[in-house]
Amino acid sequence: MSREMSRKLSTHLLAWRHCALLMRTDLIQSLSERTFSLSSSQNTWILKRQYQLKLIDLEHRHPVRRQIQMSDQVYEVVECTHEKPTPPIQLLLLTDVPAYGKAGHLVTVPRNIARMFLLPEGKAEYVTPEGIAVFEAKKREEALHPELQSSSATSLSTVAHLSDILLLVPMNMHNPWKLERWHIRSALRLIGVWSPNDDVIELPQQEIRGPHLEMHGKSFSVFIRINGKERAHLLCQIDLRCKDPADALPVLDTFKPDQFEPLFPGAVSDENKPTTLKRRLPTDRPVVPRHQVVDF
Amino acid sequence: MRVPWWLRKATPEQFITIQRRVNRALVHNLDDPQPFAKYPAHFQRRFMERRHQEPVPVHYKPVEVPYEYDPEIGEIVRIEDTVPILPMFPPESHYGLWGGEGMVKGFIKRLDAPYMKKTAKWWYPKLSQVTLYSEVLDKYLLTIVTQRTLELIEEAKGFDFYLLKTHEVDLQSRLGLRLKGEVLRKLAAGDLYPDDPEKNSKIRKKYKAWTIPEEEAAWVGLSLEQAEAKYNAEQYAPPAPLKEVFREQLLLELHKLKLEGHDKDSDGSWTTRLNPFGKRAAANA
Repeated sequence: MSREMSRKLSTHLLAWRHCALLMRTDLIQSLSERTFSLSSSQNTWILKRQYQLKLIDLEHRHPVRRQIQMSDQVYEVVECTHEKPTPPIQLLLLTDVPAYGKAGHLVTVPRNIARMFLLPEGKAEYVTPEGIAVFEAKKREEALHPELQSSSATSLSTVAHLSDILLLVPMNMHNPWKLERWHIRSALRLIGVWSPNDDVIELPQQEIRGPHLEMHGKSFSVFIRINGKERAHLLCQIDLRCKDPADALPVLDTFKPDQFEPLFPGAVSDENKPTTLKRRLPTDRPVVPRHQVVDF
Repeated sequence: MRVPWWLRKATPEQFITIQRRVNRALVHNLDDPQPFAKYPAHFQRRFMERRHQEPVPVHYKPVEVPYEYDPEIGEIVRIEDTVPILPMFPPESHYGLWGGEGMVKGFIKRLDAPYMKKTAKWWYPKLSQVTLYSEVLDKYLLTIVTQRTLELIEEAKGFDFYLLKTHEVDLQSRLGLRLKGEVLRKLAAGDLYPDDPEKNSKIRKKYKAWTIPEEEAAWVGLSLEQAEAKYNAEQYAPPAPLKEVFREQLLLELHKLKLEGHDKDSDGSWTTRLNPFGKRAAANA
């Protein structure tokens, strides 16, 4: 028995006695009112008795909960679904999220994405009748202005993907060349992105000719138009290659670097420049000294 | 409540003998024979519900119809399944939101090997650390929760709605009770988002059905010790300093004199004859 409990023991006993009548009426009332959280959860241990309890006399039973034996505590597991995948959840987006949709749209997203990013960051909301009204209004407004709509359901996520990757453009190290659209198209094909024709690719204004050894690993942006509407900024790096391994230049990293050198001034568009987000460390958390910790 | 190791500290209370503690408790109760009746009725109701009401079934499925057909007898027989499977709540559960889940203690027994003894077993909840956002308090909270809590929050459509709609006995945590009280107090005071009146009115409208009067909200989620401290603080009125009392009396007397016309020394007191700037005073100097 802890300190507080022993100090207040007699107080509690008196409280029990005093409220015996009060309790009985309120219990019945509140049980009939309670409707919330009665649905079974999928991520808890749900147990069952292996042996049935002994039948007791209903008329002469003790009013207090009956004593149970050790054999009554032998359980078997009915459900254990810790590893079960959670179903997706429907949300109302409050802002434009490139990979998921536009503001005011009802979207179905994975539950973990909703829990970890969209809901705490304030980008989405749970679906409510008021939210559905907002959604309908947004739909009506978009029908009036077709130029504001995206060309397809996946076009925005494609733009987000293309803006996120780094494309290595393999070029010859010895023979002279001029960068053309089909170079970009074949480089995209190497990483599994298929472009329908060359017209969707827009090269930078300044023409790029080579080879020069200092070009290796330098960056530039090209623009890709999706469905003739959205425009994605794709970051490319020139990768000079040759057949002779003795002449080979260092292998480039396909991960997007924090800092990159542009091929010429203004070669990299602002959308492709790295964000200056401060990395958060565990030491950034406020440290509360022990004597200031408030207990409840 | 047993305090976790990271909050433990030595107190003089530890070194007091048991007999002295008992004596102190008895003296307290002689002074105040019915300590619970002095609290407001809504606190009594909430406290007793939290204490005696049966929580919603978490670790078992309740039997809806307590009867079953027995093929051996050929009759319908009663099933005795009135005893719920209740978990144990360690002190650490009060520093998180476990959503009614706890540690279940029991035994397992292999049916295919009757010669083997039954084995003791604990069934633990799966815990995870997440950040929850409270719209009313406008605060982010790093807490330890179970998956069930997250599901209940999604079912209630928001962390604040989860706290408000869930019964105190189902929250099963001191942290949850405190948060519930704070949310209710904030709603009752109505001072949310002081810089943004539009959002203030929007959120107050959203939670209008759950708003309770301020004097009731002040008592929500208190333990018996906290309630006693609150009651004592309300009863105790600090005495006024004697300096202020005497000043009041003096001012009153002076005011009376003024009304009666005695404020000026016109009745020939001996002090009026004193003239420090006269001839004699000048000669002495």
